[in-house]
Amino acid sequence: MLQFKLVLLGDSSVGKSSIVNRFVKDSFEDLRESTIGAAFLSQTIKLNDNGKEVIVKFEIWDTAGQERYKSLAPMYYRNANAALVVYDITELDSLNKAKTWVEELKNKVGDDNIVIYLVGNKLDVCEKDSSKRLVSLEGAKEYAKEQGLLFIETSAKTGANIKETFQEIGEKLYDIKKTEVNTDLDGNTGEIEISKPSTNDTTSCCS
Amino acid sequence: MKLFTPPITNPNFDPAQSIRESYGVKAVFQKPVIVQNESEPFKMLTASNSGKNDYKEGPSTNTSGVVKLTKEEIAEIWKNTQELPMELSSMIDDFITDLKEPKYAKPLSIVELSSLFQAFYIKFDKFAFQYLSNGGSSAAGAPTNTSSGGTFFNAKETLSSGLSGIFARSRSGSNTNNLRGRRNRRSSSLFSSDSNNNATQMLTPEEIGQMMRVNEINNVTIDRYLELCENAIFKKLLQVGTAVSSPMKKPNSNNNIQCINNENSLVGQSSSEPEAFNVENLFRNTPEYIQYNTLLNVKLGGILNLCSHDKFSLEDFLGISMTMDIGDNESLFATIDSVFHQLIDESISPYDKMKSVLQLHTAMTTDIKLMSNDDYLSLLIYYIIMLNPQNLFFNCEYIKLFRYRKKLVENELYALTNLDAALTFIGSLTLEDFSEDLVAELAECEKKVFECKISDKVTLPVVDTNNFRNGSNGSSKLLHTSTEPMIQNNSYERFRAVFDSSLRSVLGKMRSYTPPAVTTLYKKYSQTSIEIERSSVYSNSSHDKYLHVQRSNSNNKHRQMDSINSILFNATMPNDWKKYKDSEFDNLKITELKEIFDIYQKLISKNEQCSNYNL
Repeated sequence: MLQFKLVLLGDSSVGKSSIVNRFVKDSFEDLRESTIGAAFLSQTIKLNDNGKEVIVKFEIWDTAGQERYKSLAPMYYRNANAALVVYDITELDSLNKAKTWVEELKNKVGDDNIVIYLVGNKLDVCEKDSSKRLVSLEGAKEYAKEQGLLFIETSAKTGANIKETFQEIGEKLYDIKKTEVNTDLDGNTGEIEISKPSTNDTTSCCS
Repeated sequence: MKLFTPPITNPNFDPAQSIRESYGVKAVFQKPVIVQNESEPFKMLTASNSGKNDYKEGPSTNTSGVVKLTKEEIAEIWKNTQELPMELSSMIDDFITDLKEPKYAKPLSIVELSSLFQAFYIKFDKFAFQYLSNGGSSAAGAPTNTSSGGTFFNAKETLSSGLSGIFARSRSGSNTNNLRGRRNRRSSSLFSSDSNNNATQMLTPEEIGQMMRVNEINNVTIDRYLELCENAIFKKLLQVGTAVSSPMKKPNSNNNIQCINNENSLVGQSSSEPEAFNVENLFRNTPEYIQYNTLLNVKLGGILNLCSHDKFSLEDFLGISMTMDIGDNESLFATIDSVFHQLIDESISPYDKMKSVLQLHTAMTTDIKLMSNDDYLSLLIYYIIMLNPQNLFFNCEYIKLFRYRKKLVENELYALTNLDAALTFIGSLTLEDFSEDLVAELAECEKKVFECKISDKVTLPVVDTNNFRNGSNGSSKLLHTSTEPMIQNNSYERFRAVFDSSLRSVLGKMRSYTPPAVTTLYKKYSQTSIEIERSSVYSNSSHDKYLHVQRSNSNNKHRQMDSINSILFNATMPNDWKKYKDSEFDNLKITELKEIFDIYQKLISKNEQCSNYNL
């Protein structure tokens, strides 16, 4: 099993926690009536690597999104493998705030060390009433492309694209890890070589 | 000038263990399980869950063949394991005795002490594993604090990373007791015949499942042992600390009492109250923490003071909205207060304190029904300010330093990070964070409290967690770091001598002599002394100066050796010795092979000359 730390960043009320709850519990609470605490959450997903099933476990760290806690964020995204930078597509300034998170991550963690996924949430609101959309899909997509980020629009309320988002991160992280491991092993394929004789084997017939 | 050096590519290399170790490490990477936290190289295939009862898991992953114990089963194991076995218990005694050895040049800082503890936890973890895999007997003999060797490598190998361990069980048996134990188990549970044949017999899924289950039970038991270990160490230190007071300090020089100081300081000033455990005393040798705590208390007092102003509302300031279902305010205050009390006053071991932190987390997230961390953090800060628990900072740092790092992960780390973040936030409050109206009304002394962030005034020592991921090698490194100069020097000499005298080094030199020696060497030292080196706190301390001197001495010596090497080398080697560098072996003629042999001979003699010169 592969285990990855994933951190959620974004302004408060963009729906970070709702996304996690949808992903982990497959539930959505409109008002804060949930009995689910803001605990540490983890969830596993399955990937398919050429017929081989791979289990990926996400360790999900929610962060406080308020501006006043911004300086504390490095404590949370330290050692994270992936970051979901969430913005609200019905809030004009929301994408700009997300951009500052992306910049911070790029500056402090570095592109190579973290997979950044830009997520525009509250798609359901815009599907009902398109006038509610204040951040264009194209603009965000363009930005993500420029910055080399993964990008998607989701709805934690309806569950649209939530699973897909985590699935894609899982695949991306798995690919990265696979490359790393292969490099570490100097081209070794990662199979167990049980036939390899052990020189320490005192009971072996050759000893 | 190009420097010439043996290729010290892996500072962890221990030739005595080379074969076993390399197989062990390989197996870890080869298995499909790649746990991000690589501090668990000897953890089994099934060890996906660290056995926490309150750990929130997603859907069961049984499809992957992972065996998981139910919560009841885990609880049962924990209930049935109330005491550490003798062998493990004596390890703790040895560790404490070792701590008391007057072998350190100066009082250990909390970070250094922590590194000793972490190294011990790793060792204990490994030994506990081996103890269990030997069916509850320490067949390999009691471990000593000085050896990090064979015993644990056996353990690692016996394990052989999960399935391969099942397939080739007799690999590591160098001890007859070991073998007998395993064979007995094998014939009774896994194999129909007790043959000595090392052939890989196919196991049925049931058998594999059974084996996995045994492994999983062992893992849970090890977790339990580790918890008991943390408890036992700190309780024993508490007792021992009371017993050895000033008389122990008399002999030898003042330099030799630092560790005892630390232990004594585990107990409060008065020996008549052995139960009083004051974490603060542990930090005595590291004034930065004391200073930080004092400043934090000042800030906390300052904020409480602000609450009396009309223009300041803590709830508004922290954005605690009224929509938040805080429930019965008073009972909640009482609950949180009692959890703080438990954390600070009633628990001793880092594990117990961690449990309190988790309890705090649970109380706030379930009782108040907080859904996101936006609210959680605000409310946590609110409670810390309102209840102002004394020494919360020390307790938080204590968990960070003394909880076994391999276990301080996932939900534990998250809860602790939240607490840490709350304290950091309070510490970083300045006048800029408050409204101008309010600031205008404040008296000078009130303003002074919020003049700057605590982190601008005090820098806490950096604790490098990666240091503990190298198992026993890491521990010996750290021990060397904190021991006398001679030991450090010796370790380097030994290290280098091993390489110099091996053929490997000769061949290695032929292959690559480009990397500058200084880089390699510096890397080694930067690893061994990482704690001290990274800490700005030590910038003025004599210890740091000493390390610096050590480092530069060694560097100089190494440089000197390299010049000698290169002179000898140039004097004896044919000019075209590198001409076969890119040749394929299959294309070589006999005459060329002979030439290569000559070069090899010269390299050997050169190497001997170097060694002699060195001696």
